Amino acid sequence: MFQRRLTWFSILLCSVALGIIARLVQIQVVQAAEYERLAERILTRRPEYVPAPRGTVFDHAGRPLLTDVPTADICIHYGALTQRDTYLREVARALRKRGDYPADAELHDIRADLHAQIDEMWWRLAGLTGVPQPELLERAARVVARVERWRAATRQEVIREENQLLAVVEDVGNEVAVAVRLELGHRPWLRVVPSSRRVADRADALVHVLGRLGAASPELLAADPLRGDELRGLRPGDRCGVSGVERLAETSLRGKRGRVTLDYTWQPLERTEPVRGRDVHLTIDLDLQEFVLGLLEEAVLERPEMERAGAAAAVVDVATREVRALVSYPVYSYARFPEEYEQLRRDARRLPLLSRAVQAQYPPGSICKAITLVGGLSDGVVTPATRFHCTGHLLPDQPDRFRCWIYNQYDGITHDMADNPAGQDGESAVRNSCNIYFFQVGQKLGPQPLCEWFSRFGLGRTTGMGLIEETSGIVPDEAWMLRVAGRRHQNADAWNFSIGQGEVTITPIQAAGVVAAIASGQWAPLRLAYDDTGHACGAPPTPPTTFDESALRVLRRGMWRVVNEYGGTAYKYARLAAPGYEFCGKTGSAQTPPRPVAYRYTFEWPGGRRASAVAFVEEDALAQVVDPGDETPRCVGRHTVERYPNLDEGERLPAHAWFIGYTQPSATPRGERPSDKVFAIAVLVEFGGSGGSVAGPVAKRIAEYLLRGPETRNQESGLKDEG
Amino acid sequence: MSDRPILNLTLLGWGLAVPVLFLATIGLLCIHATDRGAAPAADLGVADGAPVTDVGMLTRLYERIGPQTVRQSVFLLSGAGLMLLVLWPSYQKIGRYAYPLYAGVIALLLLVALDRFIDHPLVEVQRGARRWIGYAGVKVQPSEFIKLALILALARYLRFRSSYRRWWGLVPPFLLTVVPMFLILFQPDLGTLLMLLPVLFAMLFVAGARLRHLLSVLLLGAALMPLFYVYGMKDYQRARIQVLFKQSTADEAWHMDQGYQLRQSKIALGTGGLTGTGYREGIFVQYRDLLPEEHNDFIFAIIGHQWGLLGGVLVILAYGVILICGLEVATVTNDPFGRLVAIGVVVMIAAQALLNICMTIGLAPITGMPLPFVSAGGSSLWANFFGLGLLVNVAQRRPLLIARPPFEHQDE
Repeated sequence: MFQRRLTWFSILLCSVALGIIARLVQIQVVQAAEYERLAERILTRRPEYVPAPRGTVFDHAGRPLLTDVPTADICIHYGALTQRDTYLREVARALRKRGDYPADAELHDIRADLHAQIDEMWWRLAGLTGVPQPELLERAARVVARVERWRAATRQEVIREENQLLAVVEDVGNEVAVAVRLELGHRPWLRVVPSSRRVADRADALVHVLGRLGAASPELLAADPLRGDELRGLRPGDRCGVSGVERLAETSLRGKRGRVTLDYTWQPLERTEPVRGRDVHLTIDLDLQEFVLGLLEEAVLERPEMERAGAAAAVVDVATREVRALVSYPVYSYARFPEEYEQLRRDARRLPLLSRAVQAQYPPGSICKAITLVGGLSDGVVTPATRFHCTGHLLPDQPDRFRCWIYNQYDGITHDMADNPAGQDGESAVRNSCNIYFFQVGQKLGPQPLCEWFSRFGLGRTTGMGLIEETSGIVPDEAWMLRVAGRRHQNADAWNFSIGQGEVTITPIQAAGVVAAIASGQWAPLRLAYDDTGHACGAPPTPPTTFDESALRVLRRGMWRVVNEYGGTAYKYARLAAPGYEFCGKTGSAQTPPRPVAYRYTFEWPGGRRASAVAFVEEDALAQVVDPGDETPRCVGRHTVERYPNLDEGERLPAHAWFIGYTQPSATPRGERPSDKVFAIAVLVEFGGSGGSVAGPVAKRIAEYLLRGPETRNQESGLKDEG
Repeated sequence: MSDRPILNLTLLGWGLAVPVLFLATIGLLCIHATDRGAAPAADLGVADGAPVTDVGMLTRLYERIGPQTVRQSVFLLSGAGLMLLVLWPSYQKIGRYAYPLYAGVIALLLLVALDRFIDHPLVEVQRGARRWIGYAGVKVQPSEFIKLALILALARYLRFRSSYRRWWGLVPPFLLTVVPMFLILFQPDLGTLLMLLPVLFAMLFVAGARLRHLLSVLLLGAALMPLFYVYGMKDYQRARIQVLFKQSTADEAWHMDQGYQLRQSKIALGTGGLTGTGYREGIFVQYRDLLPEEHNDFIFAIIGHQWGLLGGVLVILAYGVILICGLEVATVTNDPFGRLVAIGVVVMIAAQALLNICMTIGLAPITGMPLPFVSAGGSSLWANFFGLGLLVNVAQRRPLLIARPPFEHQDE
């Protein structure tokens, strides 16, 4: 009996031993590769990234405009910010392993000590950085909240940021960085990470063009062309260009971040240094830009105080289509933007945040007549010799509508009386800016072909610089009319469009593009920035459009006469004082309603209760109607209650003053395509009144500045300084 | 059976000594490899930049070998001495003191359990458990010695009886077992507590208790397990059982938290592969603290890490040899007390080894169970060497020529 029982017992134990050996084989042979991989992972920490400095933005003359200055951020691990148990346990283990704690110390006790150390860190950090502790904790809470938002957005259980060091105190000076590193550097959850600060030099004149950096939004992350690139792709929390050139040249300016892989005890295993981003060279000349800004400011300040608004100008080198100046007035301070932002966006009268040169859409007014003429001549509805009588008003029975500007301004005078009783041909119609001539041409062309001609001159689409602020303006073709106004074209549309009124709008940079097209014979996309490989930033260039040279000759002769012939609309204002060069141009005065500066917003609560308040921005109105703790209502309506300029009864609102023109050597045969120092200039002064007298002198001084030698330039700027 | 030559007994003695020696050596090697107190050779001459010349040879040797290793060596030597001491008198003489011994250990256990209610200086709390009793630096784990005391007491009780072949006769042996289990529950030390049961069952089984009785008790116990799980266990104990069923989850956070020990142990084994990383090689030896209790409860993982599947199987084989030789000892002797003691000791060693290896490879819940003769630790070594001494003692004594073979009950 005993023997038999012993046998059974032995068999039982043998099978158990075999079972154990089978399990050992499973772990050590079958799954060995899997465990090797896990071992690799427990010995390697997640890679940490070192931000790379962005490239520098230079102006045309090689002056640095935006530079990354090295600085440092104090980063704290998310696990320490939240005092998460799993993280602290991991740290406790590693610290014990590193020898910071005795080998037999209990994890539990180490963790308690870590909690105390983290709390202590905050007040020491406050002492070192000079940021009060409550403020530090608040920043930490903001960082945590941000990560939680991202996690909510990604719908993942755990996101990468929860295992990363996150910047809590940004941009600390070198001394603070060194002090923090010395005092707190051995804390594994704190790291002083080299970072950089964007510093702008003389940037205020082109603050709109340069744009800004901001946190990478989910939209930017999704649209990032380098998405998926571990070292170059955007990651949540990165700063990247959100506007202007910073955005336009983002992929060039953005560097390649460095990567540090650490082992279990924070010793680096692998290290890749960050690579600085590529530099970007703007085609803009900083001196010219500042000069133009000064001129615009003067022009605006000359206006009566209650009509002052903004102004814009664009200068294009016609040979290369490079934008030499892109000025919007008013500007704001690049450096103080963060503090002033709330105030800037509420400035309804001056709209300082508006990048007028590319963003604001204005009715082109008479500068559009240049396109109407080329269209009429090219399509053969008129010849250069075709003449129309200027009768003051287009429709014989309606003297109050569709009038010529001269009939308006000098009560009853027509161009037939003032200039030539035989009527106006194309050339003189441009010189005199005779509305009646262009009404006739427009009528013969029809509204849709007119719109097609606008498009050929680059209206209705962006100029190809690639700035995201740039708007396309409106070419109110048949489709647009049906979509937006809900009607078909009418005869009156052709009359309006032909003189640049009605629905058609244009940006100042488009106007400069039109002039460049006139001067060179073809429309081509404009260029604003090149990276240091010579690659132009922005959209791939659209193919150029070439125009009929014989039509352009008529227009160019007309534009020459506008400036250089006695009686031309800009003769008194825009004739150049630069020897050897001439100016050809076209004036424009675009009638426009005043701008809304205050709206009445109506809000509705879910219960049906309504309230309204007056403000420029919606949230200000909201703040007026919502009590603390109240539910947030929905905005159900908005209407304008105040406009600017705010005119008294009977006062006439001044039109936007336009001037477009190009420079040419005096030796250029009249009407021929010029070469050498051909600059296209477009100037707009909001509510400036007469294009010739307000915008013309600005354009003239820009042209003179461009054409005179450097000595005179210096003299001029010297004089300006003294003034 | 009774006319076996004496040489065979010596062979059995060798059969027990060689695997134990093997296990003790491999244990000592592992403890040395993971001994964090041992200074690397290069560092020895220099401390704080200045050459240290006034350090004595012994201190240097101590530092070179490492404190843990030295401790273990001392325990091994003293354990071997204890074994020799146990060999001196006949096991039957020792058997006479079985009940007083049992009572003494129970008293110690009572003292430990008492600390739960009245804090006294003899017992200190470690990780929420009271296991050690001691004074002035000398500490023992009474729960290690209760196994032996129980074996002796049970053998003493069962040797000439057959009352346990009836239902009511099972009560005294069970009572002998349940009392210390109850006391250990206060420590608590679930591993040791459960270790007493296989010893009891094996001894009853061998003594010839009726199978249906034993099976009934086992079934009853199994039926009560869910109740015990819900009401009798603490959260951390339940968690350890849950670890067993959740170990193949893909949830990394869980592996970094609850499943950490088991995961690390399996990684240590897995990276060992077929032949291991080599002695003192491999990340689990080179880095501190990747595997908690690496020189103690999880020493089998370190063996498997350094010597791979080969080393692991060799260790299992060594226990197998001990088991076979121990069972042979029990078979050869016809003294019922000797047979029961031999069975008890063999089962004690085998069950400990089994549970320890199983928890290392994720087949059993993690309990504080040392690997006999291998893991660091004085009490465990002493208890096991004491048991080994008893076993060899039984092996060395001549069988009683005129006695009838014990436990040949007439049924089944």
